[in-house]
Amino acid sequence: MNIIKLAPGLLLAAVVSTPAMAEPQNQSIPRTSDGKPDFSGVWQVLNSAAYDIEDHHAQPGVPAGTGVVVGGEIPYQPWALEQKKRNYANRLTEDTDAKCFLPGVPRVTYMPYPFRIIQTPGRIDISYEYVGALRRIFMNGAPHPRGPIQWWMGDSRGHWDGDTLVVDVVHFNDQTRFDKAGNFHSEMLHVVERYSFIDASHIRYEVTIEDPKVFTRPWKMEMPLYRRIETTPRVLEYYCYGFNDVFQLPPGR
Amino acid sequence: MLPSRGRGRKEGVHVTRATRCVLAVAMAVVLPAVVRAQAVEPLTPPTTPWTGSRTSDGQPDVAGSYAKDWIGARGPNFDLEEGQDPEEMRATGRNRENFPKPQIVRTPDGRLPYQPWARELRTANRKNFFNATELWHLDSNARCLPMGFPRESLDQGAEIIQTSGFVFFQYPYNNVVRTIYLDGRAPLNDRVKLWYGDSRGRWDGNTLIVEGRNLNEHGWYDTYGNFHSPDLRIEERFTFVGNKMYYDVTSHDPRVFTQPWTAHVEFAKRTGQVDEPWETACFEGERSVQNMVAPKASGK
Repeated sequence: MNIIKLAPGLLLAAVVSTPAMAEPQNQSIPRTSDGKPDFSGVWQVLNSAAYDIEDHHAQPGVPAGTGVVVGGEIPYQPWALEQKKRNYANRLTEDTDAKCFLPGVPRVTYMPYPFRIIQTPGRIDISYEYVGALRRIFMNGAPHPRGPIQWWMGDSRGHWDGDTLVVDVVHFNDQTRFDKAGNFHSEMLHVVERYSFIDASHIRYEVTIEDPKVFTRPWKMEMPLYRRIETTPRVLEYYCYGFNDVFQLPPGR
Repeated sequence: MLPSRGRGRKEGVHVTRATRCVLAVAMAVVLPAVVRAQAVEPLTPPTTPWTGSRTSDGQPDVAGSYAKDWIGARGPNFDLEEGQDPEEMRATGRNRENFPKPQIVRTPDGRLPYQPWARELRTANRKNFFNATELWHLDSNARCLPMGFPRESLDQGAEIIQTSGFVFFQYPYNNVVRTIYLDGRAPLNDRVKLWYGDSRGRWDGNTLIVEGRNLNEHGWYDTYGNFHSPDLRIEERFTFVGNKMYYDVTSHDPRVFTQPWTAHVEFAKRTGQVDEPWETACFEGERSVQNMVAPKASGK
């Protein structure tokens, strides 16, 4: 079991230690006219990280899953581990998924809903089906605005490291969690995402999480993103905030 | 109170349905005359070939941020029929000259061509909105729910992004992304209903023509209860001339209206430095719905 848990970590270490620029260019991946990898399209994860990013067994309505945390465990500070347990206890009412609020980053990526990457040279936008979330990743070199700012989805600034899209995200609030199991962060959260093609239909998605208020050290998640290869994929709508409500409809309709 | 197929209907709706049949017959007789009478001179210049630069996939390159650039009625945050409702004029003591022209709604009287039952419901919606006792009396926008189309596109400017095979409109309010498919894909099944519908488009010279359908009935046209049914289909024409974007949206909804009608708004491309669009999150901070709905007197 330990070997299985360690394997993704070793793989990541191997990938990270290889200088991206030294790799031979993968000719089979889509590229934009200026030669950058072209991530345009509809993507989705295929895992159960939305329920729990750590290893977990099945419960009613929760599929079992091997976690996406590299090394298997989140390095909580002692007080934070206790808070995580309280979060787990109140997850059915206090989690953003129960309230239908914006879920933060990277959680929005591994919600089990498709998202469309809209890539232009100066900005890469990601339009998510889940609660209609939208991220704009500024690629024009402009720095993060000066904080403190507390946004639900943070402020995303990207650059290219060879064929890898690197996105630096800060300015979060402390209201979002990493999953439905109560894993959490503070407003000090700093996320670095790395998107790189495995092949034309798979992206390696690596995330570094840093939050000195909550964790003893930075830690990582890793998972593949799968291209939705239907001929005409659509990102539809999941505006859950009205599901249990009455809209403008008179009663009985 | 929309007549809905396959469900139990209330007595009043049966009467309404009969009225609609009579109307339909009457319409068939007088339709040609009506159409001529309803012809309002368009405010949009005719479609011409595109002479500007093009995107890599050959679309007219119209990317950029557009802001409303039109002196007309105040629009969907008020009342699309503003200044044209005799009842309102009497109630408020105002007259039509108090309101800016031209009207958004391009019918001779500036009003939506409701069927009689629908006009009644619209009047009720408006009355309920000002004296809400139920959540459904409220405008979705007032509750931080989505606005839907065509309200979102009539209400505010948008950022246009173009990639191969797509035009995207990003509306600042609630960070809405509208995806317009240019690949000629098949429409979605009618049973799929969405706040923002499904949009398929094509370019004709300098005009982007979009068919919008699969819209749900939760989004009104404006704050004051102008509404449509889930059968609504919209045909939109975005005509680009210089820095201007002329927008005409025609609503086809035979369940609610006696005939299609068109709304018109104009936008201008913003030049120079445009601020970065940042997050908007309305629903997450919503705290006031309970204050907008008064408890029912009879329920106490």
